[in-house]
Amino acid sequence: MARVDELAAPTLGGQELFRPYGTALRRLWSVARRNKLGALGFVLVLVILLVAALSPVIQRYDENHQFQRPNPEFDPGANPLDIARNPNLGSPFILDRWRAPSWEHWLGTDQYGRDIYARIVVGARLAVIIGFGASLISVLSGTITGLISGYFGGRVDFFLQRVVDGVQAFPPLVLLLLLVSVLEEPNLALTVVALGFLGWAYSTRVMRSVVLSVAASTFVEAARACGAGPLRIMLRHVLPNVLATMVVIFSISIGIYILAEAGLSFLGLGPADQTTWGKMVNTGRNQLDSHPWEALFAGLAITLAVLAFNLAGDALRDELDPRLRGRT
Amino acid sequence: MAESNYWQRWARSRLSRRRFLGGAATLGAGALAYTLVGCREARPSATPAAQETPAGPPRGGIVRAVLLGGNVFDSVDVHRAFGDPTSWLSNYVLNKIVRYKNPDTGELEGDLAERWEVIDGANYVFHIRQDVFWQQTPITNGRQLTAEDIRWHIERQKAGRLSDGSQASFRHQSFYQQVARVETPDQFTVRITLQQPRGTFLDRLANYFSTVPNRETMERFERNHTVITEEAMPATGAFMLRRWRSGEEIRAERNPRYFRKDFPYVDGWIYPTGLFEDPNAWRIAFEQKQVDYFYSSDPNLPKSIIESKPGQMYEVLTGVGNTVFMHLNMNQQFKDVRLVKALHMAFDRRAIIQAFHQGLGQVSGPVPWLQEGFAIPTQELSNMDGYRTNRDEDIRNARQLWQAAGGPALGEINIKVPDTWLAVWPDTVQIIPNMLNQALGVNQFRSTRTSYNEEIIPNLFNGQFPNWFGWTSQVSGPDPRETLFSVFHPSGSQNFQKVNNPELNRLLEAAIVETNYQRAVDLVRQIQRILIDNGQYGNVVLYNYILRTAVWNYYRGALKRPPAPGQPAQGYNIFAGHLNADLMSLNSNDPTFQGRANITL
Amino acid sequence: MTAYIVRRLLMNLVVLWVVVSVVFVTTNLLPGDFALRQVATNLELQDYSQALREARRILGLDKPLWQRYGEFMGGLLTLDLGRSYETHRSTWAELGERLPSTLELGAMILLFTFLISIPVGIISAIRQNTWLDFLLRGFAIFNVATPAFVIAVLLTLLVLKLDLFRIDVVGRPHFWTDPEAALKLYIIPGLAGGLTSGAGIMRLLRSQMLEVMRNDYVRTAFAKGLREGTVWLRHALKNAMLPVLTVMGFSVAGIVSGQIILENMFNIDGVGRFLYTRLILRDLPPFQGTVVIIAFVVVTVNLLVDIAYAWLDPRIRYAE
Repeated sequence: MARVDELAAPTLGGQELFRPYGTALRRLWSVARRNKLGALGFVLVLVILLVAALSPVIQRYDENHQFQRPNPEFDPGANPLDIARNPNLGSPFILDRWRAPSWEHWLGTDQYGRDIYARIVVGARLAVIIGFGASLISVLSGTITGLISGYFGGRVDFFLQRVVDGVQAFPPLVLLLLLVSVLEEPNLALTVVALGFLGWAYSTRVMRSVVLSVAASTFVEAARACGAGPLRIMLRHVLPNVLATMVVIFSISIGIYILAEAGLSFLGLGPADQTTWGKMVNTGRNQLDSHPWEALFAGLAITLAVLAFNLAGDALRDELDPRLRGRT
Repeated sequence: MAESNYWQRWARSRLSRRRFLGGAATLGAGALAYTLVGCREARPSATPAAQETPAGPPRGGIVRAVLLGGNVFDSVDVHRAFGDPTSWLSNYVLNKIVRYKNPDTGELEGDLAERWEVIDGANYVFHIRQDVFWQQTPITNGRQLTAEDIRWHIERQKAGRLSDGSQASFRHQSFYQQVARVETPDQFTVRITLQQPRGTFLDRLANYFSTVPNRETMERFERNHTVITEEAMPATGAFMLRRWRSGEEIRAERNPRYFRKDFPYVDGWIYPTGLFEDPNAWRIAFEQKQVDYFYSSDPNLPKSIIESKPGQMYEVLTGVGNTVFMHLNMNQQFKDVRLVKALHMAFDRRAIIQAFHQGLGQVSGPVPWLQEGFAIPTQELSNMDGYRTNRDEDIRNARQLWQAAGGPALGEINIKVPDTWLAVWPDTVQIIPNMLNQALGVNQFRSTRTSYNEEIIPNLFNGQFPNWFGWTSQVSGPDPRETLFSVFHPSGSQNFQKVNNPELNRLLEAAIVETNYQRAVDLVRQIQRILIDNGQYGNVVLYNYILRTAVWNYYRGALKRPPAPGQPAQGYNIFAGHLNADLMSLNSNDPTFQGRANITL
Repeated sequence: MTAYIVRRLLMNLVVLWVVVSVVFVTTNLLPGDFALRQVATNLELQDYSQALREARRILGLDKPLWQRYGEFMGGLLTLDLGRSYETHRSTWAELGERLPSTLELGAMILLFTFLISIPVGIISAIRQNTWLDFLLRGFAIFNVATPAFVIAVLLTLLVLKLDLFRIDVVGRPHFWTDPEAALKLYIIPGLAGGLTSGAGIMRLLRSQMLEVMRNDYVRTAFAKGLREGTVWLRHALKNAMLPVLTVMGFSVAGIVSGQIILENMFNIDGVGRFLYTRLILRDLPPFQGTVVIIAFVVVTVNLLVDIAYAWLDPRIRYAE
């Protein structure tokens, strides 16, 4: 049910407008009751974060261990023609490759005989690092520049927007390639920063457009008329109202970056020695019709993670944007 | 992915085994999947294969297939191209002095020479056929090929000069230094005299890179030899190039002036170069019969396609000529030969074949198993250091040596992997170091990415190359002696490890001049034993794997053994494009031919 | 407004110059060059380094960076985008050849993006929190969460296994030569690309619609008795589209030059693949030339988007 004071123009004292972040927790609980999907999202996010944090404990096996069993058929003198007909002849051990899910291997094994569940668990940690890290970099940097640009307008805006234009004019692939080629060996940190930087231009533009709308609204005019300084207005008036959009962008971005990492793996540019979901999907995709487990489970993991962050993000946005609460 | 891979596939291949390859590296295919028809020529007395009509094999049609193992051409001039693709292509268009009747055994037959005499290891006389004519172009005027062409072919490569006298880089200049003189007593006789007897000379003339190009055309395109155009390779062989441009599909049509009158069987072929980039595109094309066969570095993929369409396709198995190899730099970290020996033993070849190739492969000694005659038989090899079936013994010895030679004190050791390999097997950077660390009981090994062209090749000659694991150049013929000499003899041009073992030198010198096959084999076996005893001096040959190709029933290439019910066909392990050119055929009466796109040039 | 446009155009030129210079300098500083990839080892030690030197000289790579930069910028002024080291053809020729396929793929992707995101975004907002909303959002999330290449593989397998139609990956069909074959080739990558980006845009549109719906003028419109469809389409959508347009404007660069994965999977000779292979080969002139063109297209599109923005939302004023 709508509350009248929320629909009216917020007061200038800033108290009603600026919802104290401290009550967020109480918010969360009421949200959960009202918004089941959002609750689901939060729960999933929590699960993912837990898995990521506890991965060394719960992964069951070493993610690089190749399971194998002795091969009674081994014939050391087998000539290559015989081996071609029966590949098992050539090795004293047979890798447990492409096993279907079982008690021993909850999610089965991949083409090297490694346990998929262990790799998914380890991948969760990397997904969180990559997704959060890049998103954070992208959203924070974009918000700062978007705020400055949108609020001050004039020459500052003009100049900043041209810089954004410049960065944006780079074909994203090119930008990524150049960034990644900086180091001889792309490592995790470089990947996160490069991905984050990729989103800066986008964040800036979107944040700026939202800030423009907010800054043009009456209550900001009024605040300025009362002599409030730009910093105060930005932080206490504009920012909380664009928070919703920030949250939406952040939550969408996490999924996008996890996916972007998959694309990087495809191109062979990702951190080569890490076990990421993207790499697993990429390796497994060529066997989708014969041995789908690796691609399937890694793909599901990605989908669930993105789902989780999006739902949670949606719920947060619904909650934090005062203008949207209480819709009938 | 092959993309692949993709991206990475642009390295170049090298002359001999120790030089580096990329090229087809996406799919790890050297010059493979040359599905070759039952190894008979169209001698009417031969029993017809299953699909042959009494009149001979089916004729006509345009083949469309990924014919070569690479699609980047660095020169139109086979004398000057360092990458293999130009040479591979030339096997369909040009001829050699002699050629392999069976490249795996080394059995020779005449090509441009209809017969020859070996006076002794240093004197050879070739009698050139009198019915060879160049393709009609404004430059060649369709003239006849004579002994003069052969003389120019050899002398040009020996001198290493262009027609204006300037120096240029010729791939085989070093090899042709051994030629003392070339004489042409008449228009169709060539007499070659070497400085010293050389047992490998004839074999070299049959290698895939020994094709004879047209003199006037090469001289015309000298300045622009890197600009690829079909005008630059007029044919004497089975096909004429209709279209040959960088980045475009290659089209060739049957050469009516080819001196083997009954060949080729097909009217032409198309090589769709863009299909290299991703198995997805290639697979789509193959399943829809837009191309005639399909292979992949993942042997499971062609297999699952064959199984999904039972009775319509057959499987061809071919050894891959690019040996898998680990190069340890003895000039830098591994000065003590015991260290390389330890690593030679610590490397679990069979496990890696299992992991990357699903068991389709076999361990190789210093002479890979593809060179059947000279290689140490696998049964015997399995009792030698590094190849033992009882890994415990190898591991125990390896650890001992590693500790004794001060291995742990070396600190971190980086065995790099080229990006072309990583495009196909990205997990290599985790699997290889883990294997070595576990075997030696240490934690020193790691693995990062490198590149053939940027880091490995430029640093070979100054001895500062990184340690690396991946493909080396292609095995070009059944005789390993030239390569062994070049790598392990102090006067060899690829002795990057500065090996100088007097007993080894004696054996190498004796082997290279030996003209008697059995004695040569014997010497090479002895050489290999010394090499294994010394960890192959850091040039650690590991294994050669096997490629599986899925082929539609209506297509036949040149095969060592045709398919039989329940049994895969066998292709030649060593490049046999010249046989494929003659023998590939399309059977329009085969039921699977239905639905095949109508292809025109 | 006109003054603004003029200033923007001038600034665009400056931006272009900066972008192009940065690309030039950074690509020339990358490890390795085309000569290294062209020259192979030879048998003799001195020959290798000599061959390398010779190759560099022929390519002009031995000149100092500032000189090459000067030649490059000079070339740009005469619209000379350089020549490929590998094929020796001009960048214009190479691009021209690849433009049709790129446009076709891009158009298909954009088409599906619009087709999916707009109706779905609107419906999802209007029927917020109903089962339809959940279904659509679920669908969107699935597509957003799956990499385009996985969707492409799944669709490919579907078509192959069920033998639905023939995908011509070898013949390079175009819409004006063989529309049916072209459609069959581009539909899977178009759908895969469109689904993934469409889903993202759909959610943005939905959230923008929800915001807009709270506004007074919407309630006013309803109060005036306007039909639901009219309100949503004529009033709400127009304003909700603004940030969406911004996002679309962004996508241009990606759609034109970033489809390397889908292009490879279907053997489409597009600009994305071209850029990538040129960079890997260090065949710099066509790479730099193509980046110039793309940068030009992007800044122009963004200017158009900003103009459209101002036209659509009268509240936005541009500083004089």
